[in-house]
Amino acid sequence: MSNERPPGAGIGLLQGTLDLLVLRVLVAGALHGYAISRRLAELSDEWFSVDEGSLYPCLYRMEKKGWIRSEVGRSENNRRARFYSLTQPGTDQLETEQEDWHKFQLAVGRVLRRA
Amino acid sequence: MLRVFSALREWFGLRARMSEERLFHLDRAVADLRALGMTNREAKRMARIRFGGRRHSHAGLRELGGDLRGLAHLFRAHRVVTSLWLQPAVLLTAVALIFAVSPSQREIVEGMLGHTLGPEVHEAVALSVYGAGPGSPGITQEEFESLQSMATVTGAERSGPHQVRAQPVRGVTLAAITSEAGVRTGNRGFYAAWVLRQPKVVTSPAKVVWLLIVLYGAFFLYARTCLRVTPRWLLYAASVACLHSLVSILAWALATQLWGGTSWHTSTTAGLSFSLLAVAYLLTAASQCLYWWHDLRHRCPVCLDRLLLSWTQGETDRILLSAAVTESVCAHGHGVLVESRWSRDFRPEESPLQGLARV
Repeated sequence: MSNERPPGAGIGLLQGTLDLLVLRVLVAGALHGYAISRRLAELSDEWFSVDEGSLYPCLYRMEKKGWIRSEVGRSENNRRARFYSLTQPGTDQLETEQEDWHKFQLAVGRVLRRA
Repeated sequence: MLRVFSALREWFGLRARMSEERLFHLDRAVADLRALGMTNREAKRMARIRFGGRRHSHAGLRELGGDLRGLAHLFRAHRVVTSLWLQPAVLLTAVALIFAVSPSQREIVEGMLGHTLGPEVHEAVALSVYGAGPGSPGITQEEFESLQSMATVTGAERSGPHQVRAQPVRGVTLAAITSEAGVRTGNRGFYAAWVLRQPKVVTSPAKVVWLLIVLYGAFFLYARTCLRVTPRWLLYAASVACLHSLVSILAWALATQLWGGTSWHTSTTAGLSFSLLAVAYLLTAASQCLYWWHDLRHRCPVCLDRLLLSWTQGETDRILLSAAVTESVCAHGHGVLVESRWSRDFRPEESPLQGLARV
């Protein structure tokens, strides 16, 4: 296995983006923390250099806000794990954050084209 | 106590959740990395690197409420802070901690009692001359050298101009020591006396401070409290006050014990540190008294639960006209506490929750 860092190494996630990504990943269904981090890495082609540990404060924060809920269940290898799933407020939040993200993307794009 | 346990159980549960998730994550990461051909050691190292530093665990605990701030929040949520048993529990824990930390528990107990435990122990023997006083020349150098060469005592040392202290040889009597001292020095006026072992820790200053506090407290309560106190309220107040004084005196004993065991470079440093210790002690004792009174004044004299729904009328910066008056209600309907800058009155007949009163 290569120890080379992915192309996005060194670029941290923009503040608040992790919430959006986690909410989006959870649309597919309930996942445990490790599965969420792997799914994020796979979907971004290992682009994001996120410390996997930073996912948990984000999950707990979103759980506190009521965007996601957690339940204890059994993982694929029959181990006790905590599964996170999206709630209705979380779905609404995802829509809002997605809209905001598109607006942000368009605004940045406009600046880059016109400058 | 149940409230404390339940808050602690919840807090440890939150911490366990974080730790359990971290372990699960690392185990899965190690398994995946090993499947890619890494050795177990490499896989563990890489998994830890990918997980990131401790700051994530700390951030996670903060979000979960598993840190100290979370514990404080849980204590508030479980109404531990207002619990009747909080002060006694904390004070008893402090007593246990003081005994656990002390290098010699026996010294602490002896200091508290003011005398040594067990039978009297002859620590040393004092040799003096009959009739020696401030005007007399004291023990001469020749006499001191003769006393140093005695067979019935060893390690003779001057203890002032009129006295020499020494360790008696095992089984020797005072008469034998007196006789030998007279023969060796040629001065028949020498006599020996036992020096008894004294408690090493002196707690008298702390006891005096608390005696003064108790006297002032009794006068203060008598003069200012117009509460219709119940025996239960008085018993609680006295018990907690006793525990406060016990902890305070024990803390003083421990502090002086540690101070005495420290080798100070100069006497100035020793004196300065002792002064600081004394000031810190007085401040702590004053804080204890204030906390005790603050807690007590906000408790219902009947059920001892904290009074709630404090409501202030008037201006807090006024002294006479429109001065602030605060009303607090007992949640069990035992009455209303009306307090102003000048008076405190508990009025059972005015409780808005009287219908809810229970025995």
